[in-house]
Amino acid sequence: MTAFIVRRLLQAALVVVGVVTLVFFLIRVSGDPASLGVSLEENRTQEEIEAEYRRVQKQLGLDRHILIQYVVFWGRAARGDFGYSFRYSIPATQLIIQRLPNSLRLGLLAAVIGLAAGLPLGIAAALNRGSILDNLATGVSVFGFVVPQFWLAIVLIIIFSVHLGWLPTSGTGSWKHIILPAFTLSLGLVATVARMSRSGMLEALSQDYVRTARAKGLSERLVIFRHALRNGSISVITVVVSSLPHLLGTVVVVEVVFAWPGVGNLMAQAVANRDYPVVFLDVLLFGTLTVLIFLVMDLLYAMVDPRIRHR
Amino acid sequence: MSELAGTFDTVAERRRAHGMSVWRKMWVHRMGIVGIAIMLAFVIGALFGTWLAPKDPVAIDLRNNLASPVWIDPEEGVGILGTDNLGRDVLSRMLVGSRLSLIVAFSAVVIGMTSGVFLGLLTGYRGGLVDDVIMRIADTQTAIPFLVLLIAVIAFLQDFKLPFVPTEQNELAKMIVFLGIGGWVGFARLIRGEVLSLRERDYVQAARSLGASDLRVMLRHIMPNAIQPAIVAASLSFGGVILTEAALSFLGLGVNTLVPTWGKMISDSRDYMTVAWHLSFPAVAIMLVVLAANLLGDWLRDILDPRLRGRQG
Repeated sequence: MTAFIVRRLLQAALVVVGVVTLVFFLIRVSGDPASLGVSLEENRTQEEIEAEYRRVQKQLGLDRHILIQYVVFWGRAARGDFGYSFRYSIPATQLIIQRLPNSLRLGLLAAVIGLAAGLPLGIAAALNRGSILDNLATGVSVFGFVVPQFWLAIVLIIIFSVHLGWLPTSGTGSWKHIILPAFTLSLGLVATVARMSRSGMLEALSQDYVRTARAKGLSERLVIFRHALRNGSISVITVVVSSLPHLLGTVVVVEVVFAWPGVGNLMAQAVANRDYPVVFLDVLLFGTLTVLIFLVMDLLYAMVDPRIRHR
Repeated sequence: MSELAGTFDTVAERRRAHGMSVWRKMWVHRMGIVGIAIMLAFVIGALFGTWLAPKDPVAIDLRNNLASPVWIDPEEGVGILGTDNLGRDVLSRMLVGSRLSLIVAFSAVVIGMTSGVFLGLLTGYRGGLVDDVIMRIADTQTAIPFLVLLIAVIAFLQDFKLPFVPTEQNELAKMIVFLGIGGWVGFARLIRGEVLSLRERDYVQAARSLGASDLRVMLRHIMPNAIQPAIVAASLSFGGVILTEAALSFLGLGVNTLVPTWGKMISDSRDYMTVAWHLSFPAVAIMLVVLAANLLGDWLRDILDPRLRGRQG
């Protein structure tokens, strides 16, 4: 088990290194970050501007060879120094840390809604196959799958904020502010969870051990919860976890529509302002989160199923 | 990506379906036919949109802006789907814009599939260092949520100029290439998996013994047998690409064209939706196309290869 954990950790670390490298070189081909750091106030002479340009270039280390920049960058990153935001002139890490709790709150609530609504819906649909409930579950999962999130968000705002006036349109403050964004964000997850738990449950119910369990006279409740649900859940977990990166991506859109002050919104702003250190750190954050999610999933699997450790 | 409306839900049903003739399966899987019909309607709309459009899609008519569809408001309404904030006919814009939306998605899927299939063949067949390097790059790319990666790439490569593309098409071409490159990993993994098992088969050994070159074995013998899942995955990813393009347009990273894509249309009119609900019709079009593409993909999967169900597309 230890060998497996070490190997898997090394793999994860390698991927994070890959992400950093990818984004580092992307930024460097993007143009000249130094020119963005120069303030173009009026009544400054050309020489003053050029002098500041060279100062910024030197400050950012852009006058050196790109490979040296890469090494220096790693040196700084190891100390947690990812540079200053061009726009706010505070460390990019600080900006991210300020916004991260908001995103986590939103994401966790969405995940809870997604599981709390999706699982019962999918299981109930599988147990009552072909019923109205089953059709409803299919309808919900199809809708959650095909709807453009930002449009849904706009429609929800129009219905619940503009017409009914029940909930605020955007921003943070009271508990009411989080309802619409969390619901919008959760819909994709509800759809995935409902669909997968439905087919996982159907699959499990068609197995021989379920027939055996029924044949030996177990109550239907025991058959469903002890036998079918347990075995069906593994494939559900796999698919749901694999769909998480996609859902992390939609965080950006949802946060922008609802002006939610999280890391996704920060990223959209940083892109508009060409605030590269912030964009960089944001991508790194999303990448690391994804890698961590998959890492935890694999470790859990290895704990449950000894065969995986020896692969 | 997985099945939306399952027809063959369990292994047992799939096994039964395996014995059916293609025609029988087609009939049992009626949702696939619905998907094909919707898709066909949109393709016709895209091909002949400029002729079918009742009005000039860019003609501004400020006296009739934000007018409801005529069938809602027979007195004041203008056009079948109403007009936007500048009085332009929504239906005409959607019809003409559908070509762009579908071309962007289609080309992106083709680029993703071609590059993915090529790299999948290469890594699966060759193995070794090439395999290691390319699959680690794939891991890296999957580690970043696709939308986040795209946002970063579009932001960083704002001033990037694609070679061989006229300047006025550069933005559009870039969007297509970026969307396409995002898709290669899925295809490569799919094909690689197939190739790994196919390359040990007797008929591949036989071809090699007869002196066929690596390239010939890959293209003539392995690819035709490995390509089916990629075709299914392509159909399933089509909808995803449309939605991603829409999301990017909403974030202000879309392509500016005279007649925009559906995604851009929704995002342009978001401030007016409170007073003019009919501006949501492009969203309905997006939902229908995404639905159709997925139904089509499910159908293809059931027809071509029932083993594939539940796999990631």
